[in-house]
Amino acid sequence: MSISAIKHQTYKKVIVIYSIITILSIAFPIIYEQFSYGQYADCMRLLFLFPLISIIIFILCYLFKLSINIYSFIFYHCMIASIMNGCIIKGIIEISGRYSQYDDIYLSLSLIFAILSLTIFLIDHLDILKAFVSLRKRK
Amino acid sequence: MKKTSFIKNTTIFTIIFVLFIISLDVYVLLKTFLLSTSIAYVETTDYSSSQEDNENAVISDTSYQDSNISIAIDTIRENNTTIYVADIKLVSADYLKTAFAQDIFGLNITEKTSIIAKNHNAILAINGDYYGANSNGYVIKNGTLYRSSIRNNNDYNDLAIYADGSFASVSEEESSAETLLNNGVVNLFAFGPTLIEEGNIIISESEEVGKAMNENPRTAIGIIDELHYIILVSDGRTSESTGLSLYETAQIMQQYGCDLAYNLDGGGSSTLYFNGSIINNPTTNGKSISEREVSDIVYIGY
Repeated sequence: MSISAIKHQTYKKVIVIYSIITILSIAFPIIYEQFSYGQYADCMRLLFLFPLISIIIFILCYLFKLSINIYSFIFYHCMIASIMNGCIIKGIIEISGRYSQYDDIYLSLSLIFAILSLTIFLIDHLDILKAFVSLRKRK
Repeated sequence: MKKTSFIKNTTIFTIIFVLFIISLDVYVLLKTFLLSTSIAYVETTDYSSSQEDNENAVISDTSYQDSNISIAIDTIRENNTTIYVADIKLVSADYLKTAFAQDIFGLNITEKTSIIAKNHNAILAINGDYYGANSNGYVIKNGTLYRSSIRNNNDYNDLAIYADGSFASVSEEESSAETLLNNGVVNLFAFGPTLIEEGNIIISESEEVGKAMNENPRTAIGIIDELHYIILVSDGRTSESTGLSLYETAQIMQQYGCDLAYNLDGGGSSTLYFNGSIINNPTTNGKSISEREVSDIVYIGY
């Protein structure tokens, strides 16, 4: 059995997981702000957007039966984890009244994973395109 | 076999990634909140000569009077909050000073206001601008420049105190720290906002520091006239005292005739020390009364 592509039914599991993460991302800032004497951080309040956008992406993948290379898939999750982590840390620092000087580290990390994920995805689909073109030529 | 090897590799990768992210978080949080960095040591001063000046002082629970320094503390009640207002008159601006926690300039180096005040023989002291919470923003204390990087949040001006004791509201974007020092600034506070300028309140009723809640313990300093100052410290976050908004703080400072008033670090940092004791009720969580350790103070003393 090939392990190079995500199975179609895996998208359903991933959508459920990201839905739970979205709910937690909404709840966490609400709970944290109860202990912050009214201080809040925009990046923490907008945390839920990352898993929410991911849900939309995977719904589209499911509907259009798009296959994703497993490595592209894993790097995508790493990207989301990095950027969400960065937002939480930045929010904790800003709520304490300080200014975060470590945004660049998390941003760079998520950018690296984003590039890796996208590159592998495009390479994967270029092969499929080439195979399709050569099939057409044979006919 | 191939599938098992692949799953093992992705599991190892996931574990390594999770460990890396957790380590990064721990490092960032430790560096921001806990790990102290000493950058410069301040020479300690011999305070024994000040004994002579203090010998003729007339001191009560709410006042201090000698030939050079006059302090009178009012306790008032407004907006469901207990507020302490110190009226200070000096013969020389030399008696308006600042001090670092542990006499060290650095990050995350803190000490209680009362301890710093005692170590410097302060007559009256309040918390400063908590410069040590951030790694940028001008720091000029007692005529020495310690940091000249512009602070991240430039929404607020700094408060400059000149050698002659005069105050000015200055922007870090408009003047370099070196220029301010060369122009005679001996002490600088990077917090804000400026509450009053030329006797007029310049903030809106909804103005707040960052995204804090509206009512908080406050610390503010202002100048009425030449060598005539006002210091305000309010309680807050408790059932006895809810705290003041910035606008309410400005209104009270204006009532006392402030020409220029500036907001310093508030919340749990707000502390008023006078004659060996803490006068206000400092609290961070509203449940326990205790001083927060701060990175610097402003004080009146010899």
